Amino acid sequence: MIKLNFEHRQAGHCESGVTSNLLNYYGLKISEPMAFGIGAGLFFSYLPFLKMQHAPVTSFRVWPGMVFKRATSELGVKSGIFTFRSKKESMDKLKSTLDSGIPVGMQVGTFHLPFFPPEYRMHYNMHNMVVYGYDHDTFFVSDTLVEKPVEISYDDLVRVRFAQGTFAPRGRMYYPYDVPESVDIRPAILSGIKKTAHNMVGIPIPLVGVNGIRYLSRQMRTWEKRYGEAKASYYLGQVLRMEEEIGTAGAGFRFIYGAFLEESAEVLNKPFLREMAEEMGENANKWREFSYLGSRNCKKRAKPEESYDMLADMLYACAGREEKIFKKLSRM
Amino acid sequence: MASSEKINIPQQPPMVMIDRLIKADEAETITALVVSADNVFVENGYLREPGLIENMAQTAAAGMGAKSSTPESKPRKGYIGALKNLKIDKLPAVGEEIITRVMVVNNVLNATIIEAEVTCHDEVIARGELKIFLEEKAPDPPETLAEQPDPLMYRYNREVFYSFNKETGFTQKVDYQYSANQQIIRQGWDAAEDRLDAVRQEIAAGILSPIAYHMERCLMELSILASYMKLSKWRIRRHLKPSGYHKLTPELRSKYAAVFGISVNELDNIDPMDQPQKGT
Repeated sequence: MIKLNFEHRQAGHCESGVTSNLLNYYGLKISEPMAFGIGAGLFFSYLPFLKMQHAPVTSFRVWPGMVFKRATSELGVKSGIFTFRSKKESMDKLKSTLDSGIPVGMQVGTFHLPFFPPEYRMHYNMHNMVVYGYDHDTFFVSDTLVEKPVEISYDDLVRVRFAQGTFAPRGRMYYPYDVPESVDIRPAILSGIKKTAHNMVGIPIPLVGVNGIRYLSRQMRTWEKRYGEAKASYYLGQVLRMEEEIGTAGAGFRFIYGAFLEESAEVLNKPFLREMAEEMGENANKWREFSYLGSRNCKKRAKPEESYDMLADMLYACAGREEKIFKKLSRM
Repeated sequence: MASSEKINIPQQPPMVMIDRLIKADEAETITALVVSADNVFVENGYLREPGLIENMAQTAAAGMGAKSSTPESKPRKGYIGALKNLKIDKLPAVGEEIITRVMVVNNVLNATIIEAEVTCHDEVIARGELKIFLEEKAPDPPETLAEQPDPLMYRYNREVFYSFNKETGFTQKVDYQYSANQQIIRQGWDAAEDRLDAVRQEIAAGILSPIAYHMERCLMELSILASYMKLSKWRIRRHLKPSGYHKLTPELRSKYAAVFGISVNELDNIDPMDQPQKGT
């Protein structure tokens, strides 16, 4: 039996939380927003040609796995990332890694995750958690969404690690193994901000970044006419589920990102970043307002003036604000 | 002034220009005020014109406050935008009681046009038309969303949420998912239920096979099922039809059953009471 002395801390976003908790285990105190910001996690993309749960894919974050990868490499932490073809091999590797005293982060699917709130158990494969020990066929898990540390059986763990569908995890596991004692995080912060600013305002593709928000806003106006009321409402619901549901800590990560900017302002001693954090916070509140009004539409309690046009206007305004913020940040 | 706390208006003493609410319904609002000597608008023993206009506007506000959904909710602030046809025949003296009747004539966007009539001893002493602009209703701050009366779907796991306001900056808190968010999660499950019902009907009509039913019950889509089965999509598509389903080999049947987490015999069962499965 192995049970590492791993501190379970809840977090708003699973991957940033896992990254932060793993580094914390080695004494590198990086908060969750910090991990998210350095990992350049913030993003937006709307992909109408890809369907998930019968609705277009909307994403508020970068590709799964990017946050850990970027954050560790920016911080000069050496890490291993593995995917597997064989289930047995993946579990053997997990056990041997735990045996050598290393807690392991992994990407899993949520449908078969037994300790997950049932309402969240959809075929969603981008969840992350940490396994920090095992006793025969029981594994000890720290899941940032769940209040307390939990356990999972060998068979269930295999099932969630090899869940199928979009972004299938293929047994993906990762861990930092060489963590420097002290790290100057200032260059990492600047590089993270630069990367995010580029992702949001520097990619000339209409589906991603602030252009993507505008594109979604334009599409939203036509939903009711094109698809009818029920489907339009479902599509809207899907956007909101992506924005508010599992692990965004609210407003599609905009709160976490603002918290990162606020913390960075302290670390770098730049009042300018504090200003940006405030603007991001206001912006995040607007996103929450959008999802709040949108949810009234989903339960058919919207007032007549709370139409798709109004929601689209709100989105358009959000895009404008974010464009301003990230243009300023990219010039920093 | 004792009863003024029951009146739901944004004004605070000493600016409160009404004592009690007599009637408030869709058509009209009636309030009463006994002019007291310490009233800020009393001059030389008479309530002056601004007092009367305030009285009219506050009567309108009291009507709106009474009509708002919850009595505790904060009344919206209003500004007097315009006065029309105002005619004041007489000023009420200290000690006299005035009764004010207000009718809403029109609501245009954020402006409300009201007609007011002030009587004293059954004699109309003032009347006029007021245009009141209501302040944009501020959306409820996220913190209060969780306290809405909607029932929460679940209360067994608290999560971390961030929030922001200008004074405190960003803060974290651990709480149950907001009811507004639970509502959109519910919508996803409701839609899954509707899809399941639709599949049931198509099976009854002989268009689809039980495989389609279990696929929907497990919230799967064609591509997900195909990758769990390690079969190509077009083969799965065949099994979704009754003709293809009847030709299934025992091996494939047991493979399907394993993927759906049921026994082979249950594969044919289509329970009309089944709900979309929330994981295992």
